[in-house]
Amino acid sequence: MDALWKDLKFAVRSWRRTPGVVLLAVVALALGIGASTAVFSVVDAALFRPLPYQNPEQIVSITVSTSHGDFVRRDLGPSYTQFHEMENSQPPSLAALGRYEIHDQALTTPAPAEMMHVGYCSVSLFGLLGVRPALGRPFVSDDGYVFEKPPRQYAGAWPREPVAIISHGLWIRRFAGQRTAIGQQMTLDDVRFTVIGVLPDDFTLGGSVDFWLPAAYRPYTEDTNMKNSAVIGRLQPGARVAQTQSEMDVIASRFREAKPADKASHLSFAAATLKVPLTSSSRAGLSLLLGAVALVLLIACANVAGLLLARTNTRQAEMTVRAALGATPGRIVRQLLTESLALAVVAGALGSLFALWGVDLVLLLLGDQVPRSDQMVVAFRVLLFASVVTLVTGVLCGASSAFTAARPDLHRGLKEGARDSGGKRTHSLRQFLVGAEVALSLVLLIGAALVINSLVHLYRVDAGFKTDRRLTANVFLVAPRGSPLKGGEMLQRFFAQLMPRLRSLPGVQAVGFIDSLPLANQTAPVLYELESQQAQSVPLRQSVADAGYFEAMAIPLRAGRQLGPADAVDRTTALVNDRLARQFWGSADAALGRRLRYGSPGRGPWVTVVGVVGDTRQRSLDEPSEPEIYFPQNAMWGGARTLILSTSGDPSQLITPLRAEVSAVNAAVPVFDVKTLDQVLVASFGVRWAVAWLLAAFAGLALILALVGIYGVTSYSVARRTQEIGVRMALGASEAGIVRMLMVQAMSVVAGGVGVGVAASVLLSRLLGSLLYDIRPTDPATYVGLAVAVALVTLVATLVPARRAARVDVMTALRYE
Amino acid sequence: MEAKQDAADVLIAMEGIGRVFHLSDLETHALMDVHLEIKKGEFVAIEGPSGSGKTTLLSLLGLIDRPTAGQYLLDGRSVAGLSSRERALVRNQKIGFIFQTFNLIGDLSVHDNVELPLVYRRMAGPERKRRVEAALARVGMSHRAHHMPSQLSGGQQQRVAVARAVVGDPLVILADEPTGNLDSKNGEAVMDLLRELHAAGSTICMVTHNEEYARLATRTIRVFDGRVVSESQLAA
Repeated sequence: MDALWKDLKFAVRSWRRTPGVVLLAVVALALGIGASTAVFSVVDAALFRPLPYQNPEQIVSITVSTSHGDFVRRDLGPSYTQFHEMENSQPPSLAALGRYEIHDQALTTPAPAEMMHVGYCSVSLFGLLGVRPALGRPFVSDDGYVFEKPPRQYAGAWPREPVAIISHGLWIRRFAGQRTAIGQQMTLDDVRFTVIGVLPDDFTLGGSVDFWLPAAYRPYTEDTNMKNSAVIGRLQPGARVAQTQSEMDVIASRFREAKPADKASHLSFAAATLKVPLTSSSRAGLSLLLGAVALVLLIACANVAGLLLARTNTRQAEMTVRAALGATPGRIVRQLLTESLALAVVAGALGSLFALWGVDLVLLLLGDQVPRSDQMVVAFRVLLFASVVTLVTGVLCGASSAFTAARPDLHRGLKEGARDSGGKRTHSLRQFLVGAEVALSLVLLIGAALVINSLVHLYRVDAGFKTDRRLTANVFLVAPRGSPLKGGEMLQRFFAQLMPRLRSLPGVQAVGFIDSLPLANQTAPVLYELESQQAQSVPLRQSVADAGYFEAMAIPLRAGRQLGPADAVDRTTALVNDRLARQFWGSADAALGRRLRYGSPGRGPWVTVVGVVGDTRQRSLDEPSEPEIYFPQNAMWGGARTLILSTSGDPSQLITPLRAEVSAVNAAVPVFDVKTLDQVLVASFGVRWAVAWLLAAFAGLALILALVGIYGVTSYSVARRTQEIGVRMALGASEAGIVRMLMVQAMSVVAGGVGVGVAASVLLSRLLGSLLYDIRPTDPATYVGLAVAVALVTLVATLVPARRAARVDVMTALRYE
Repeated sequence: MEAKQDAADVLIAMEGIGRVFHLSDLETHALMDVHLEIKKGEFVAIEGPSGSGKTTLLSLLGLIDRPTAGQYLLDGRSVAGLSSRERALVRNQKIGFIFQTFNLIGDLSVHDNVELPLVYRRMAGPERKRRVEAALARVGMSHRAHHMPSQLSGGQQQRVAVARAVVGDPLVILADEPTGNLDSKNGEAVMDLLRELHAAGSTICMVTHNEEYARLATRTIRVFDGRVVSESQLAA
């Protein structure tokens, strides 16, 4: 311990001799550790941290898949009927089963009105998960089981007083974290609930749900497979998911045998361990970011290892003396590793500070693109990660210098006194480190360039509508309980009052609404039957929009006419998009007058096409337009609508007037998700946008670190050769000749690094697959351009010390050392 | 009986020692067939022109280098099969070095420099302190204990180096041109120190160019072209 303390004291004292090197090393490592820790905290929350349930590995989710030819739907939630069948079958592998579905509803009291994600669940759900409310009590069976078969809506009074469990976030937001929240009443879409519990802070299920209510109070009666519902179960001790899958296969076969529709749709159930839901691009993006920061950290390590190696070479005499006085090789290794570890610990502390800011930055960029973003904090696991990274980097950085110095050539070292006797081995190691830095930074630069290029290509994609100077805002309106009006009628009346007011706002050019904005991928396609000699089923995206929507979005009318108030009454007319018209009827004009109906086989009334509008990208910019059908707002369909305001100026200036007008028409209508259409466009890039920015930042950082490393090593190398350079010049070498010689030697290392970097990029580029659009992972222009750019930049980094060395005074150089 | 006593007194025994260096295709015989005995309490000077092999010989004596031929017994024990770690331990416990270039560690104070061999020996703190203070007092450098080497003159640095060499109470002190980097006044002061150490019973082996200083030794060994060419016993 005493010796360790002495080593530490010596390390700190020796740092004073080379403060520049130490500062550079600490900052380089701190940036690497900080970036790694910040990204790890995000990835940890999204990918690694266990779900906040008791024995989460025992929780399974059961999803439904159906297919009609090429029209495949996966990961849907089982319907109530299917859930009941599962429950009644009592699968031996499962100890319990539960179901929930998520709906958006308006919280109207206490004010202000706010849109909520509301989860309707079986009362056993929280018990199944092993989660108890942090405050209050859980649901009990008296609170409102049972799922009824068939489900029905209570028209009058509820059988019991409706109760709710709220999220921790809502508790803080609406009740300032007061215990008195228990027993308070809140109104959702005109139904009053009493708060009986508050969930723990880290609880998450089905996204950010604010309200949990017993399923008996669900406002909808549909009994279909939905995206926003899920069945989960807890495995019996010792049971495996494969057993559950076999049991579900049997249940699915019973459905297929009993119901022709399920047989036709090839209904099947899939059981899998419950995981945090992630899109493939999110997973790829996060993995890529983690890989990128690992590369940055490696570059920082190579950088610092190079610096320490150079520093240790200047301390050869000291190491020789230590060895002569009896220091064993292990003792010298220990001392140098202590020094590099001490350096890493300082860098780790600074890096953890960087990480605190870094997490904010990453959150700012990622927003809600990754799950559990609200739980991305520098927590214990993250600090543990930072500590491990710090120790590993300390060892990595110090290892090369420590093991090089461990067995000094005592005979030669003592003869040559204090000379820096860095030999061929350390020279090769330094060259290797420089080459590695170039290779790693090139890998990052190529990755970043490919993703950024993809974004540029995406940005240039015609979405089918204009995004500039347009504001969007969501509103939500349903009919009060007991009201003679239906939800659609409420909306019709609301919009009849609101739209003229919005049109009269200064700068507003057009106003419209739709139920599912393009690029948001809010709706799933449904099957329609086209009227023809051979009845044909096609998956269509179905929307509700008014004529103002197409004007506000600048979506052209290709043929026919827009929908008017009369169309909303008889509900037998619709618009389709150009893609549908061309694909099935040959042209826009040919589509006019054609008929189609909902279902497969069709079971709704026939709807006639009266107009054809331009295509829009519904899912995202990188996925082609799909066949679409637009209906007018009718009396039936209530719920959320997105307003679009086209303006002549800055759309954000309209936010306050818009809220005021909505409130003036109906103060209970919440206005939420207010964004410009440009922001919607950027959000549609998903995690790609943030990944591109972060990758670019990391690649830039990597390049700077690599350049500093190359500059430092070149400076050191030429300084060591001052005497040799003096001799060469004394023998007639020109200044240009010396520069050329040094540059050629340095660039041979850089060329090697570039070669390895390009090869590694080709190998790693397939990992970028899901993040790229309209560009090949091995795009030659990107590879060649960046290889040349890196070579040129590193050329400059070597040129400066080379020129300085060539200007040395020959006499001084000959007396060097 | 006398022969037995003589054998017990032998501290260093070299037989047929050779050292060959290979540089590219060139084979250089730095030392050839060296036979050498140094008894406890002797003050041996090794003389010879530059490149004669005297420093190589001292390196072999100090276990800094390994011979390519011959046998070397230190304190009656062969050092041929020792690992790097064991050689380091022997250097630490049995040998004290004094170098021409002092070789003090610039980032350590005078006290810490002298203490270093004892730290490597894992000696307890209070004992280390006592020994360091004694060694510094012995070379007259106690008042400079907390100075850094850069704050000392060359002569003072070499006195600190002498203190570092003797602090561990080694069996032999190996001095490689200890006055080579000093002016005559400081050189004589260092030689006075060595003489005092010898008078107190230390075994010293010193490489030197300076014939005057060589005469202060009890025995002089002359090395030429890698061979011991003559030996002369001098009056103390």
